[in-house]
Amino acid sequence: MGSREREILNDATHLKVERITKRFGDVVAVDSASFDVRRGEIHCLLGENGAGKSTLSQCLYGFYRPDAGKIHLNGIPVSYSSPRDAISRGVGMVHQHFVLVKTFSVIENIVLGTHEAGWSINLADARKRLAEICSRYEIEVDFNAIISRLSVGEQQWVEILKALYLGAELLILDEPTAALTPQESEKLFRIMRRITADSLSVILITHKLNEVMQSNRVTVLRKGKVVSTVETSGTSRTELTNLMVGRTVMFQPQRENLEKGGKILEVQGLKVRDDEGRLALNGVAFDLHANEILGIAGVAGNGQKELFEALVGARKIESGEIRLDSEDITNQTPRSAIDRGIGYIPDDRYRYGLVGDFTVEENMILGLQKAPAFSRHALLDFSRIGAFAAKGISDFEIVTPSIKAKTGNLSGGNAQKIILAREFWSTSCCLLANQPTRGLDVGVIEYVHKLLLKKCGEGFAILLASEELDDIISLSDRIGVMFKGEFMGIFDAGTVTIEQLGLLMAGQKILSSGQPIAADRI
Amino acid sequence: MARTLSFEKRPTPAWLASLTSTSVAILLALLASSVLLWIVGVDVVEAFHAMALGAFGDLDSIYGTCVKAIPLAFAGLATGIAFRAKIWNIGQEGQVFAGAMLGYWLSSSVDLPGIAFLPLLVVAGFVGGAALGGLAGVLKTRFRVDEIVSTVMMNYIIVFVLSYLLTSRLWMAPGEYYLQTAQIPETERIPTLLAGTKLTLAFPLAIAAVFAIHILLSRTTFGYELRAFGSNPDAARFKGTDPSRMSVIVLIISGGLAGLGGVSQTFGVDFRISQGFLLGLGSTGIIVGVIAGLRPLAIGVAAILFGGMAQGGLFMQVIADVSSAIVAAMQAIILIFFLCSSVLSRYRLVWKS
Repeated sequence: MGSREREILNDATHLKVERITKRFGDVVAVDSASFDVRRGEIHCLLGENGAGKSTLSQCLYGFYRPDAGKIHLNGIPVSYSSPRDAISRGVGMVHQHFVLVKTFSVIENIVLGTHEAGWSINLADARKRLAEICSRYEIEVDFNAIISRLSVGEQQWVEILKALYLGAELLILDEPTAALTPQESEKLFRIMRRITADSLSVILITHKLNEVMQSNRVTVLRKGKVVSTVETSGTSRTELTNLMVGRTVMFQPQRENLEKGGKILEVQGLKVRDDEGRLALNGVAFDLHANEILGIAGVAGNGQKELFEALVGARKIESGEIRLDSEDITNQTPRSAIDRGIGYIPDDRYRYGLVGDFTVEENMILGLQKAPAFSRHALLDFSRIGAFAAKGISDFEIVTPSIKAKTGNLSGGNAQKIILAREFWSTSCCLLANQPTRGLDVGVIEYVHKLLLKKCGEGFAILLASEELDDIISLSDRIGVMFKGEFMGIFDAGTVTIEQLGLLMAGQKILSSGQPIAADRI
Repeated sequence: MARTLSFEKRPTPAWLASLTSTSVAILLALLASSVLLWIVGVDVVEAFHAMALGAFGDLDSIYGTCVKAIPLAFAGLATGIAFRAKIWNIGQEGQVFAGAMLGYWLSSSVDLPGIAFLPLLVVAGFVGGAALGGLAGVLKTRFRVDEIVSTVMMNYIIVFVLSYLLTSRLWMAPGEYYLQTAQIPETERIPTLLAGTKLTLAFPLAIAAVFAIHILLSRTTFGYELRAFGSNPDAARFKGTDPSRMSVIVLIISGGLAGLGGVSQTFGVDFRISQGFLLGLGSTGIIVGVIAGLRPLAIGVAAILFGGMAQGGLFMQVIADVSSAIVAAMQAIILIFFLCSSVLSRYRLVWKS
């Protein structure tokens, strides 16, 4: 392709969206949204949770049918009745939650997703085409690897590869970097730039501003409406945030210097296996004090989930010891963890923290149904539960039609707030929060941070794991980095930089020469 | 531009759609049943007329319908409570037998006046069914035996046990020709409410059970945990519900309810056990539970409906000369249409351009 041709193509509008509206019952998720994507650009869809980013992209991908509005691809009006139609027109999507068969190999996953496979599969041809795509875009994946053995980052490459293999020219990535190390996410952007240099286009759905700043243009959504589309080079983080939230947001949480309190949680030599029987924690040890936030940095899948589950009694501890206020609580039951006032915010809220079919008020008391505040003589006291739920809804600004609304219909952020309201209420000593702000709006994240600091000031011991290094750095008194089931070290806040944390998260040890060392390695 | 009609999933289930599709399902089921009757070569209108008359035509037939509904309500509740917890107890058939059999054993081994015997009988019926259910629960939680397999297998085992007890003449009256137990003495039968009918105390007991299970599921902390466990066992476990304990308890209650169905039938209607008398009550109970959407109050209504079909079926047999097997076929047809309608009611038709 000549450079002139490419230029013409690059100028061409790849996708034009005109006044798309999508309603769910009475809720207008996308309200007559219009924007366009130029060929060869990285176009960000930025917005808070529930702003309609995901719904809008699902309309572009044919998963939802818009109630009104038009979609033009390369100037031609299109309407799809299913994602298959969208794929056949060169639109590919990488979902936030991967849709891979865990027990299959990379190549099987990619080829089985194509309907040209038929009854027999010609893997040799596929391998050749895939190798071509990989070398063109510098994607490194072992085609024969079994998906469950791959890191989240590697699974992401597989998803992208699959979309490209299916002939995608317009790639929609839904929050792709949620589970990546800073280094992996940089790599992702390198791949994206290679893809766009090849006259393909990328729509990137995100709420992370540092990623947005690497795109060509940004369309900001708020409450289902397009607020504006701007050239990235002509805008700033502050402007984007204000557009997104509709008000000014403070970036730095205010934290006061607190005297470290007494030892609350003491963990020694913890060994735990994951669901597949592999050692997920290999001798983890740490202390957690009152008035303290211990942050755990690390890419998801390095044992954080298993650590939290072992602490709340939901996962069997092979060896090691957990003490709460010097009482041995190793291998307690989840019930006794709740009764002891250990609060838990799980990473996968819909799987471990909520019952999707339950109403908002029912979920507000999940696990607390036997508390005297909510039941008497084994009978639920719905007036009290309702009052508690109503208070939670107003305190946490949960957007829901009513306390009787089905939780599964709420947006992710609002669902998370139900868990927050419940756990903040029930916790009396120790709060274990795994990715508490995952997928939340900027405004809510600010609120969660404030609450965590407030609880910390009230004498709580808080264990906080987050993939957002900004969270960890701005909130923690000490920071531990987890890699492959072990702490790479626990550092006092302020003695490590983001870059060093990134390296530690990738498993590289920091040498002592001129570098910060583990300040209080336990 | 051409407009096409297509299905779209509803964000929330709609009452009106549910009602409409249910009514349509009943109509279609009647239509399909008519075809069946037509093939057999009977007057369709006459047959349905006979059935309706037999089920609800006069007071006697209404009493008959209620009597038939009692075991179906118990077996339906057994289905409802288990399936709500996503525990697939499909051994109601065997649990009905087990309840009746333990009741019979009690009646043949103790000699008590009715007032003292009745409460014991209720306990025996519950325990009999619960023992089978609980066994499936222990197999499930201890040895990871799928409850679908174990409960179905126990259906056979219990019927063979009965068969042994009868053929070995342990439970047969001396000189008896048929494979059935001796008659239960009148003092140990469930007392009737109305002289001349078989409407016994079991009927109010069944109604009480319907409301009790309704309250258990909707208002108690246990019911709350059960529903949470059914919809998201992971979240329930993380929030303090012991999955093994829950599974065993649910199977015990479910089996016990089915067992009460057995006792109510044997001690209120048949007064003796044979292999044929209790056959099909448990499996019809599953249909009743599923059609009612596993909701206890609706199970009560569905039990009356199916009781009516069974009662009306007898009339149909006599008046229109239709085999009673047709009734079983009609029940199955209704189930299929109901299942289809409950899926369809979650969607809506939309015009797309």
